[in-house]
Amino acid sequence: MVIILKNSLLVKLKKQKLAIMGFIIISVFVLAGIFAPILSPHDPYAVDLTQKLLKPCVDFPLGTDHLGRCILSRLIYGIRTSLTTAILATALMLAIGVPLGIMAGYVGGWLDNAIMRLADIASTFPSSLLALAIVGVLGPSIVNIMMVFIVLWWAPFARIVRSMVIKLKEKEFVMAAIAAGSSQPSIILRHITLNVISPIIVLATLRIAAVIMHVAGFSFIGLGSQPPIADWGVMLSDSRQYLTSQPLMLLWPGLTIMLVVFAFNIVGEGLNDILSPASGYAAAVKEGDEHHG
Amino acid sequence: MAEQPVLSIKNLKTYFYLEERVVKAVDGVSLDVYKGRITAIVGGSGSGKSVMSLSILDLVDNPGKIIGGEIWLNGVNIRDLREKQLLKIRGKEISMIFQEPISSMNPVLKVKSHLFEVIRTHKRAISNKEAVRLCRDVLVRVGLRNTDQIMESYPFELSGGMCQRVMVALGLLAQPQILIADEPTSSLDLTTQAAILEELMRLKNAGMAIVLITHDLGVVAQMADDVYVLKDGKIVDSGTVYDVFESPRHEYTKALLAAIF
Amino acid sequence: MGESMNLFEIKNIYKCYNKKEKPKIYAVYNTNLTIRKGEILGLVGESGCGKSTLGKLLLKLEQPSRGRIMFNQRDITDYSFNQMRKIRNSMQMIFQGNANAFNPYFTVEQIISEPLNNYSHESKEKKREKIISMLEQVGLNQTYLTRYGHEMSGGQRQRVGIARALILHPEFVVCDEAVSSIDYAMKNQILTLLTDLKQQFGLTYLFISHDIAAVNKLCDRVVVMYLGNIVEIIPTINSNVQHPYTKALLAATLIPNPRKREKNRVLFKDTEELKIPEKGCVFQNRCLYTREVCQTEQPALAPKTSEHYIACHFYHNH
Repeated sequence: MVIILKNSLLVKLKKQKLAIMGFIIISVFVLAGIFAPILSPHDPYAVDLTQKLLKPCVDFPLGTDHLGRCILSRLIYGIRTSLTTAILATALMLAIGVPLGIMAGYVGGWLDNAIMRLADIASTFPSSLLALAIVGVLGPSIVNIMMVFIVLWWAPFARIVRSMVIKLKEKEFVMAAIAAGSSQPSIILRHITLNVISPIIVLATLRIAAVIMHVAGFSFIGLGSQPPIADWGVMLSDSRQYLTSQPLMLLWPGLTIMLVVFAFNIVGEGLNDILSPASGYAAAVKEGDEHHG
Repeated sequence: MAEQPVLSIKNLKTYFYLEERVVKAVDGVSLDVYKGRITAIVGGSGSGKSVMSLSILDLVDNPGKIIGGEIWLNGVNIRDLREKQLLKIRGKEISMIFQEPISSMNPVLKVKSHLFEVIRTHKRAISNKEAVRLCRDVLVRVGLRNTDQIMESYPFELSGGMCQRVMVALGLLAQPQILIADEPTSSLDLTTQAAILEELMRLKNAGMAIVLITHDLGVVAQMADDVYVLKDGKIVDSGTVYDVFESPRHEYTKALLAAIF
Repeated sequence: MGESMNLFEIKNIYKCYNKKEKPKIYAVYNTNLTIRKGEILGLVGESGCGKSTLGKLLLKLEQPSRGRIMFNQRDITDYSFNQMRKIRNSMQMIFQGNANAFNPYFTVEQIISEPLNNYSHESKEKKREKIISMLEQVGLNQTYLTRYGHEMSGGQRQRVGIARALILHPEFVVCDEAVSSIDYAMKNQILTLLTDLKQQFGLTYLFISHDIAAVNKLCDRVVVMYLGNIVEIIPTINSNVQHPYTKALLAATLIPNPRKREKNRVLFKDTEELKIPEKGCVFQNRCLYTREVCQTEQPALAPKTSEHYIACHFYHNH
């Protein structure tokens, strides 16, 4: 037993290297987004038809698009739209889904039923349909698309939290807390919520990645950001017509989305290992103690 | 006792090669197992007893490796055999049962399928009808009565005690000479444990050689004929059960015995 | 030695988990019990007998489906969560020291502080002193304050659990399999510790275990349960046990002495059907002495002597 657990410690460290790499990538993007005006070589909205569809050169490190705009600058400014909306949307999803999940799991009964049926509706409702509906009424914009995801994607969080809470309720330390005379709010906050947070953070990072992709997708079909806003999805959409004349217009935003999504995914997985308290290493140490003690 | 041991292990060494260091799980263990006797291997967690039992049948996976010693079965050093030949030994000459009976079985297969798998491995040529008869016989032998119902059940439909009996039955199907039982009753109730141990006693009285691995001194005292005490991969004490309980030689054995109340 | 010395009185307690299904399966069925102040009452039985459930019912960690629970002459059966909070400092539980015993994010200090913070209004320093003192009494030094549950061995966790339960100096402590996950050497230490603390603080224990030897060592009276029913109450587990199930249980207990080998250890029918019978005695399917009356009428828990109770037709109508 000791042997197997010590092995996993090494695996854990290796995984963490990957997670650190992902974290660095995300940090670079966040910083780039914050310092966009300083880092961008050009104004992302500056149109100059004499410079259109250029290959990468000294002036334009990633080339230009069909309107002569610097692709690199648009990518950097695009960070602001994409990352902010993704993080904001995910935070709101959590704000709705986690408390509902905790209530459903802890209280049970009719409340559980009611919340779960709401979750059923939210998770089975087709996102494209809702997107069209919202856009139809409120007009296309990235904020409106964000709303689509918030309204639908809180449900998986609620479900996962609920099943975790149900399992937690049965654990001895919860019963011990009741026996110790703790109040219900204290138990929910310190024992239940605390133990639910770290798996949720992991899922949240993965969800951010998904939001980025989906928002890009909706912008691609014209339901999200509208041109001339620098948005990765819009950039992909614009590149369709120029696939043969300037394929780099597709490549750069595509690669960027891929890179960011990848970074969030590996950070999410790395967090999973780091945040679980009873990690393999600790368990191995304990076994070692028993062996000698 | 001029009798020859049916299984003789000499200086067995199983090491685990990890990245930082080598764990010597089994470090020079020698023991003899005789027909019609129960040989108990006693040790706490981390003593290497489970690794030892797996080593006998060469069931140790990477990063563990058997790097030394001999295992003599019926005059043959089975460490020299290749995998293909070992397949004939496992289940047929030497059988093994483990601690958690329910997790030792495939949850999506009926008991019948488990039994048939063993039969087909070792007695390919017999007819289905013969095979069913064999199954019924072995189930009765381990004390189960409604054999047909049990054969049609899934593992989760049986109690812990019944599952363990099925495991013993699986172990007996190919009529082995030696049965290795690794903590066979640790996860069972007291009364169920008594029943399973009685089955094992019955098998021993019928001539089988049983290797009983346990940490429970009560089990050892009531069941064993010969005892080996294992600590950190080495045998620190051995002898008949009376020798070990009444005249322990090593400090560790003395400490173990002193802690009983 | 009158009624006023009874710490707990349980009358006709039932606990059923699947209320809506038929047939109802009772974890605890029509159980009556008194626990005297200052005694160590043992509660033995195998898995599924309801002993853990009974322990939790006493502390109202589970709500009984029927029946009444009296604590210190007060009927607490219908006490709400908050009413119970007011008296929880008098009754505590020591859980099995496994991985689920503590919140994985809590240090030992936080674990033991929790009950203390709920009932004590002393200063932070005073509380810390109390915690350190309690830890020392269970044999753990200050360095353990910053450790987490998963950083400790089973024996250490068990001791932290004891500290947590006793920090409030309760009157009554339920020990639920408190020594089950510990090896021999540590078991002895913990049992001695429990006895010492009992003397020191004047505690009453309910000691729940499937380990007959441990119960033997520690307890005054012993209650034997089978499938939710009390089948025997014995003054000491060595006195003449009469119930067929208790006899089977004792026979199955393996004595670590090779010179004392029992020939017949299986004193029950091995039918393997662990179904709870619809009527009659709960042990009828496995008992060696089952007669017709056993299958129709449930035997009442009747006294042999003033201290020894048995629920068996065979015994009483001999």
